[in-house]
Amino acid sequence: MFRYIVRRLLQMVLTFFGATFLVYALIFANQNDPIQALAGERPITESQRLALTQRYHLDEGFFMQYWYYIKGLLTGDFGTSLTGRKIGDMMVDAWPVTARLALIAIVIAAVFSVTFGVYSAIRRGGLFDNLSLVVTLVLLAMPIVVIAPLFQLIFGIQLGWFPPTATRDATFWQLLLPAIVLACIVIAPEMRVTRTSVVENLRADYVRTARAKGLTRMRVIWVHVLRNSLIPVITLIGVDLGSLLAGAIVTEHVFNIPGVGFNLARAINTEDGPLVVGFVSILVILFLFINLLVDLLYAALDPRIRYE
Amino acid sequence: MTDIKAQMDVLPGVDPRAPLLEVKDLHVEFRTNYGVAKAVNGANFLLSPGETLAILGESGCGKSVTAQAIMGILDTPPGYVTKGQINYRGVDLLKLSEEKRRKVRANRIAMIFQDALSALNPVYTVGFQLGELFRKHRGMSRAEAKRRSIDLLDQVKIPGAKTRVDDYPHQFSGGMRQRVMIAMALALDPEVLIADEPTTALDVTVQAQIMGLLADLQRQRNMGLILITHDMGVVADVADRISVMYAGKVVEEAPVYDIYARPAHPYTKALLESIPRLDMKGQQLSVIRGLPPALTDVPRGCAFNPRCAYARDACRQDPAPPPYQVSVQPHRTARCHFFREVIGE
Repeated sequence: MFRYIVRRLLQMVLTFFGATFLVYALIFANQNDPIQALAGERPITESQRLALTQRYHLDEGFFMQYWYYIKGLLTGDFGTSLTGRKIGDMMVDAWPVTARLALIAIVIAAVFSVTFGVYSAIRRGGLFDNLSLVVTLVLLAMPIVVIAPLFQLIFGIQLGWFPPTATRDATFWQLLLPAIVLACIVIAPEMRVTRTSVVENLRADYVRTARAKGLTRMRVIWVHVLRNSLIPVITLIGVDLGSLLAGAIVTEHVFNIPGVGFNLARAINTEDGPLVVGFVSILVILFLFINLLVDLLYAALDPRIRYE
Repeated sequence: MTDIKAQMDVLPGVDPRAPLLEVKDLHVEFRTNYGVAKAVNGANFLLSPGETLAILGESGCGKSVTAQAIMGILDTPPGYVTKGQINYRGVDLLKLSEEKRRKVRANRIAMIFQDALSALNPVYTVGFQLGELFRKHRGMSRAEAKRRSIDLLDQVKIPGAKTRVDDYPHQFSGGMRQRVMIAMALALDPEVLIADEPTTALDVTVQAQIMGLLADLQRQRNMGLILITHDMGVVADVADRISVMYAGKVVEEAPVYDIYARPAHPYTKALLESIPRLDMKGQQLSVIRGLPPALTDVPRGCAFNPRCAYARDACRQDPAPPPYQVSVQPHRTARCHFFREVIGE
């Protein structure tokens, strides 16, 4: 088990460098004139241009620029955004609010999809099952760029149930609507997978044994069947984290939440290379880390799984 | 039996003098998209305390379904009990509410399944799965339930019960796993134990050990045992009475000695003739021609008629032969119009 974890962590280091390199290269290739992008519409003097070029090593070619970047990174310095702010500071500001947003979304999605999935499975073919199929299909068909402004308009502005925007020190209440929007993009597949997995497990021999033991139906389903059914669902929740973070770019933009997605969206617009690379690299690491946790969770759920 | 009183509260109307278990004219059908499969079409039998009744038959003859109907664990839908009675000490289980029925399971009638690896929940320790019975049915604490679980594992002769109680099913060998299954069935001192092919998944030496263990435990507790099997060798060793099932009907019922000596139904006779014997070495093994009928399409008259050497016109017409009384003492029945001819040869 220990060796397995160490190996996975070492793989992560490699992946980290691979990811930074790739994103850096993509940003570099896409760069048009970052200095003009920084200045926006205003004219820029030759001396200003020269100073900025030197400060960001813009004249030294791709590999040298990447080398400076990595050198900074290894000394704990994420570098400086083209806006002049330290990227490290921006991350400290942005991550907590996004982490909370993603966590609320994951919990909402997991609770809803597992409860409704199990319920559909035990009443399969029933009204609830079919209704939930239709609703999840509708959710699945709507991209987040539609759901986010739609929910903001309906629940945030017209009905006024939720605050339509959030701040950096957002309360749970402010983050709830954007979290629901985020949850919507993953709830449909998670629920369908739960349902299928439970249906499959309901046919298993051990369920018959549990019933022969005179256990209540509730106990058979929520204790015996559910734990066996959760493995594919947990996998999906881990993978869905990627969708959530991608979705956060749109959601945070719409709800004006100054988190990771918000910063990333702005950085891409302004061709702010170091900022994009910094945030994306941390996203990659986070994604890998969560999926390592998911893999370790398997072993906790199913004792037959052992890692060598 | 520490809580007979608690059990009496659950099941009013239990008459200690009534037969332990009596199945009368049981009918079970499966309603599928492809038609109605009549899995059990009038099963009858009687079980007394301390007695071993073997239900014998080919795959798909309805023996497992009968057991599941007695336990009340048929998958409904598609399975339905359409007719008949299952009387436990004079109480018809089929008329009980689901809540009362649930408490009969494991407390009074328990069941052992064929393949213990798939029949045990893979993600919980055997201690959890045994202890659950004490906790949920007897309201014991976790610690007390664990102590009782270790006792049980000792009783079924699992070495090192104290440590093995925390192991998972996949960490046991096939034979040990079946012992766990037996321990689980016996946990709440049931009066009836149904064993559905308990040794089919095991190799021959382990089979003998498990059957020996079952026989010992049955004697100690004076339980009625229903042994479902297709293995005529196992039956001859342990059973007192045999019910032979074919296409959902009990075609012959008799004490084990009589059935082996003088079968009264052509199907039983054919089954016995198809056992390989050492003194017939080198000769062609006798087989039963054809296949058992599909349960969606059972032949008219006697279901066995297309494969029967004795079949005549009467056998091909409804009604099917009733359970004729072959002899009163001992009690024997056979569903064959020509049982005298079969037995006489």
